[in-house]
Amino acid sequence: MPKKESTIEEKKAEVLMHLRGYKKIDQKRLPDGITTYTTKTKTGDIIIYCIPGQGTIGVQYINKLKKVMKDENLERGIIITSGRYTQAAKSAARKRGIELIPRMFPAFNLFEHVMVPKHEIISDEERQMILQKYKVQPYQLPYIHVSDPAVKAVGAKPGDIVKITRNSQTAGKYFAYRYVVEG
Amino acid sequence: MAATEEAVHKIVEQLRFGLLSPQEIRKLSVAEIQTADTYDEDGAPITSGLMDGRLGTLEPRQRCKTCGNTAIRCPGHFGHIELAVPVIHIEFTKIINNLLNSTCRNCGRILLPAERLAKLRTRIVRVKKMLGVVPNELYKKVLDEAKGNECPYCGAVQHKLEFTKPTSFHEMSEEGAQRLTPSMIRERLERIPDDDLELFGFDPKSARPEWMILQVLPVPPVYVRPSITLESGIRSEDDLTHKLVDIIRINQRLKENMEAGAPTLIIQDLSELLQYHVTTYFNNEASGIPPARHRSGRALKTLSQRLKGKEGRFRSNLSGKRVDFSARTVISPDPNLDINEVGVPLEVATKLSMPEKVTEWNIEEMRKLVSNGPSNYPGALYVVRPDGKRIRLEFVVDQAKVAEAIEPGFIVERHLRDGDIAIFNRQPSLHRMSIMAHYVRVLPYKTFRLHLCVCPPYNADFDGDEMNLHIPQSEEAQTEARLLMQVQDQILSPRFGGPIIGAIRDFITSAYLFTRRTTLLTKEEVCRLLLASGYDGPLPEPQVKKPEPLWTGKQIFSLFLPKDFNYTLKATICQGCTKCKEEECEYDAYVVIKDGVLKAGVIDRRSIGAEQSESIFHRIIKDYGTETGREFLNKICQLLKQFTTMRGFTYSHDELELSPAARQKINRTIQKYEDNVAALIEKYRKGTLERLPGQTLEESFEIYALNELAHARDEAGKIADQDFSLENSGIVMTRTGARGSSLNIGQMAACVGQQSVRGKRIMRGYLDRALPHFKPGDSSPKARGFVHSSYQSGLDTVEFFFHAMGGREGLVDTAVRTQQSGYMQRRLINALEHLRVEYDGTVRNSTGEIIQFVYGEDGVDPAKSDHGKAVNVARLVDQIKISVQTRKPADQEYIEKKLKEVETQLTPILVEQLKSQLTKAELGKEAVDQAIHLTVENYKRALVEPGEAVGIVGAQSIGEPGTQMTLRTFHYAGVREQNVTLGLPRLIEIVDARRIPSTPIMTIYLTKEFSKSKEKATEVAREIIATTVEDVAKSVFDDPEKEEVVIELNPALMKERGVSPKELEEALHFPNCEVKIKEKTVRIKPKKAGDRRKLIGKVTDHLIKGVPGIRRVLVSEEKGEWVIRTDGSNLSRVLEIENVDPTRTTTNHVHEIAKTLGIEAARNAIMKEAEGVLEEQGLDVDIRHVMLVADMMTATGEIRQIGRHGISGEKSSVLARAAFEITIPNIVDAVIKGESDPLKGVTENVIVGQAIPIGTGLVDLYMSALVESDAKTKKAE
Repeated sequence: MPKKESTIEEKKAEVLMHLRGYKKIDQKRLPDGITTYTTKTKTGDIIIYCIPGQGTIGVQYINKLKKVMKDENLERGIIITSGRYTQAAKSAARKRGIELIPRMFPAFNLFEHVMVPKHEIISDEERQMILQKYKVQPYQLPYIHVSDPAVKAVGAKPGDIVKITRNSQTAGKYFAYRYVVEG
Repeated sequence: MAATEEAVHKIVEQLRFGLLSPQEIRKLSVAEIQTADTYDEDGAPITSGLMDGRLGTLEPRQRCKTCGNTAIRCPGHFGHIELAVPVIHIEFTKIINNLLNSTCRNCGRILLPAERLAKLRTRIVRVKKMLGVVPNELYKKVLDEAKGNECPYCGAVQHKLEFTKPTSFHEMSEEGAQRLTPSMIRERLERIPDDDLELFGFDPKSARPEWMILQVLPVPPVYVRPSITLESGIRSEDDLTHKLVDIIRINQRLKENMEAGAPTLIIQDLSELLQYHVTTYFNNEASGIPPARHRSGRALKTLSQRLKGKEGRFRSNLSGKRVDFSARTVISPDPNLDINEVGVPLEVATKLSMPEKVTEWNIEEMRKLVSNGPSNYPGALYVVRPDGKRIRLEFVVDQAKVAEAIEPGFIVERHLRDGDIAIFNRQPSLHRMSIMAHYVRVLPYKTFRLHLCVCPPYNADFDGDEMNLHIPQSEEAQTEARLLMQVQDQILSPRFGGPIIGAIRDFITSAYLFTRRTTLLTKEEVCRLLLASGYDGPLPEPQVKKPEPLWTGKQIFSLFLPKDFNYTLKATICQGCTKCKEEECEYDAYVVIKDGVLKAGVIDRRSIGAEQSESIFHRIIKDYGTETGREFLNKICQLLKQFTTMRGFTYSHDELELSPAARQKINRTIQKYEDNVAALIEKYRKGTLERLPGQTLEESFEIYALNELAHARDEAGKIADQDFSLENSGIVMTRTGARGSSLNIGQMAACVGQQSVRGKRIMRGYLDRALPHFKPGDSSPKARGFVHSSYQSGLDTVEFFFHAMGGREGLVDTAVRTQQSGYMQRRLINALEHLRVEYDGTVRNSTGEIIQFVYGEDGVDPAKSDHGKAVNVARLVDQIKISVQTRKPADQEYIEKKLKEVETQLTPILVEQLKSQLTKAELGKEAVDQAIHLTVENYKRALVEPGEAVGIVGAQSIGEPGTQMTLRTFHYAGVREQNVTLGLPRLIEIVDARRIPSTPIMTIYLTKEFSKSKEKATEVAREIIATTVEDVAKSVFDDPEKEEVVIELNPALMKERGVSPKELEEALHFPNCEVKIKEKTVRIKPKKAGDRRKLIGKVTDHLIKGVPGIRRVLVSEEKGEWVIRTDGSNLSRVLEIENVDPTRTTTNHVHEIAKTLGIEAARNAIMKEAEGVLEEQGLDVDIRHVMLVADMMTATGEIRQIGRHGISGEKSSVLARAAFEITIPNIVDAVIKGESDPLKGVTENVIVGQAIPIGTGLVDLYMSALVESDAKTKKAE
């Protein structure tokens, strides 16, 4: 199905790479419609797998990607699709270090949305500073789930703290911090 | 009281919950109860009976046999009953069932392999480290997971367990069902090892599961179940005692039978009966059992019922208590009082007392009071000696002798007198201004009296309202009342940062009449007015000198304004002309005050009224302080009261008489609109009426008709309103904002208008008609409740009836609304009560979790703000401009440099405002410095104080206006055809965090190109609307001959929806079916013959194109661009549609936003939605309160409801949770987990009777120990 324009999934991939600051090295469209991207990041290369359509994603896709990852000697992989994932696929992905992007993930830079403030992962120094300043354990901060689209967008993991720059009605600008938790 | 009160020397730090083991119960017991009787013939308690003297004594002069104290000081002691057979505790049955199901019947281990358990253990440890606590879901997961047919440890085969309510368990083995007796269950539970229990969330140290089966029953002390002696001398026992009697009787019988070796059947029956009695003893409302009843047939109130609900122990006796030193009576108005005074009847003043310490300086006075005794007014009720002994003067024969005996150091509890501080309250106490401190003024007669200006905060009127008065007794309480609760300190409401106290009703009318241009006063009048208002300065120069000196009202009013006060505003009577003539206004509506002189304009509601922000009164308080504000209000109220007394003000029936010309005009207008309706009826009958989208023809007709008739009333009212001059009293009242609206005038003079029930014209009653006077189906205005008459002319019979129908709905509406908003308020308060501002400026809950990093994002207290703004920069700059002489304006560079210096001390918004204002004002350098300095000062002054109960204030500020909201759910949003839920129901929906809003709506913005024209926008709209087969088909039916489902298409509909045949072909696919498309018909043949009815349903609902969930779309123009509004919501899919602007498109479905855009966007959405509702209702609520609610709801990363399934259910305190709702399960849950209540919140401290850790209660003494790292650095130095 050689289409000129990019699919929704490809758009999502582009947005994701842009938001997380991944550098695209390679883009391929496989004969079965799946597009793969190879990207370069600070923590190693990642392969992104875009599966078009709204079909349910089962374990077979995970295994397929794992094989590709093995072939290319890559540690991490990402799957983007508009369909659902089966439970088995989810648990398999967790084991194999593959990140599944939920179908709700928007195909545009969500930080451009009027209601979404900027999120960013904070550095270790800043983290120490914040915890010191408020004299708190991380779990005493407000939470944000890893499954949150904004967290997905910046690629934060459980245990990270994200800094949120809100446009405040009362103060103009306001910083909030949220602790990334599982779920 | 103060002296006798023992000093607090112990504080409850923590409360631990757990189960009592049988050993512990026996250890705690002072007596084994064996006899079911209570008293013998002489009325003495029987030993080892239920009223055993060792359990405590009820007789006033007897001593307890255990502790030797009298009834008042004895705490009571538990006894116990040895049960013949073990019995299940009813509240734990569910947990017992779970445990039995998840553990091995043989060895008691969890039915999960060891590796899995190890994994779960590490997971629990990990989660605990990460989150601080282990969430309940994790334990629940273990319970759910642990299931299997074979034990992985001992290999025992597991049988299925069946639990039937209330207390029986059966095991389904191959041989059939076998009953598990409580003793068998107990054995099994005993086998579960401690380590395994921890995985279920149990704390085995404080709650072993076998203790959930009772072997010994504790018997509560007699104080828990006192018997009462009736007038006839008959003793009546408490419900609990009755129940215990039953238990002992059966227990005794069971014991005897067992000893006698009775057949098992009898033993079993008796065991079950014992189980029943013990069950009902704990909970007499357990499902599956008939409640135990009293002889009279009334169900007994046993332990659970005593704790539960509004009348239960928690809510009725622990969270709120009856108090001494209080009075309640009817209130009445008194304009001669000060606003911070309360008139107390003499009778009350002689019953309430105020403790006063005798000193050298007041001893003579105190002697006088004591010798006057309790019944002569300035007297005293008690004398307290330094050793704590109280002398009740009522019983003292020679009061003079006592008076002689008092010395410094004694305390005299004297009668209330003028100047004492009192706390005044009117229920419902919806916000903090419902309880304020007033100074006592002892007055004759029997009512409490208050100044009219304090009616708005109390929401009081004088139609029989009663209020409560409390006299704080301790020095501490009195001081706090004086410093924090005085009326003048509560003038500015924290809800919106404006005055809630102010002139009302006749004060406003009077102010208008007084300050209008035509009012001229003679010297005598002026003197009388000034005398009444306590003015003692010189008379101003009269405005008119000849023939006699005359003063204007404006002149006199000016005397009370601060001398350097400058302000301009538009009065309420302002007509809103397109071009304001300012000082030349013909209505005198442009108010100008220059240097404390009212130059132009009339004073009315906008200037001095209650609940008016940015009024003259508000400005005076902000600029000169609350004390000046109080004096100002007092004085002008006295003045205005005197003026109305002199002038007089009435409104009479004949003032509603219209001129004949106006009358005629009104009749013509109404006739015109009635004709319009007649035309509509005709059109409707012929079927030529245009149908509104999404409405049936009849509905459309009703909407049109309602519209026409609404116009009729509005126009008629307008004519009447214009026919009256400003000399008309009614008009004076409505225009000045004193009372009523022009709608009221219109209804009184012109036409009452359409009556409605449920937002529709009245149609209920008889078949097809509302009353038998009309023909069936008559849809004329008159037949459906249009009231043509005015109140002045009187309603005819039919009109009167319709009016009564509409009126009743109004009453019902109010009743329902108060209930709903009351519950919402309770939930809000409960969810937010423990939030406070800490010393570092963060807002935290009782466990120290951060909710906001800076309160309201700028740290400003709304009560100290200027109508929400931290600093009113514009006014500040204006004032400086007037006061500081300017030579050379400072340049931009200088301003920016100066601003840079204070940047860190201000919010970005303030810096921005300062910059623009200063640039505009062209001030000199000195003035710029001063402006910046003052802004910083004022900002700091407006910051919240540590300890402030921002949660409670926020909850009150959102809950209190709830009562004022409409219940009418539907309102038109932008487009006439679209209904949205608004008002109270919508607000409740938001705080409830409902999964699906009742009216989901999206606002879809389009890309530049597509937002320009309607056609382009419609194109996109067609892509969005969900189109199913039903929408494009003429009919879908079953063809039994060919065993096919047939769709007959409608080309017109297809065109309207923009569905091409190709699209249709692509979309129509069904599993296991063959689809044939032939021009206008589609035939679907299932491969397998079978039920085609199901298939029909599937086919009709099959989506051809569009976004699922979007039911309707409406293209409309807003602010110069075309947008799409939809009925139904599906954000994630709509965002993916081409040509939709994804960055602005939103929905009112908050959960959807959370899912697609994240929790931060959801927070913004909650704020936007709640603010939208409040704004639409015209309610002024500071955004910071809404912000706090939104932050609290989203603090855990997902949207939590304000209520028992959300925030309130996750509170850290067991007591607070139990006191809110679902009392018993919360306690049971705390028990098995061995939870402890840290007593850091509000409710729990109220319950144990300690100061709450909020506000002044937060202040404590701490010892600062050097932190190790600090110590090291110190040493290094």
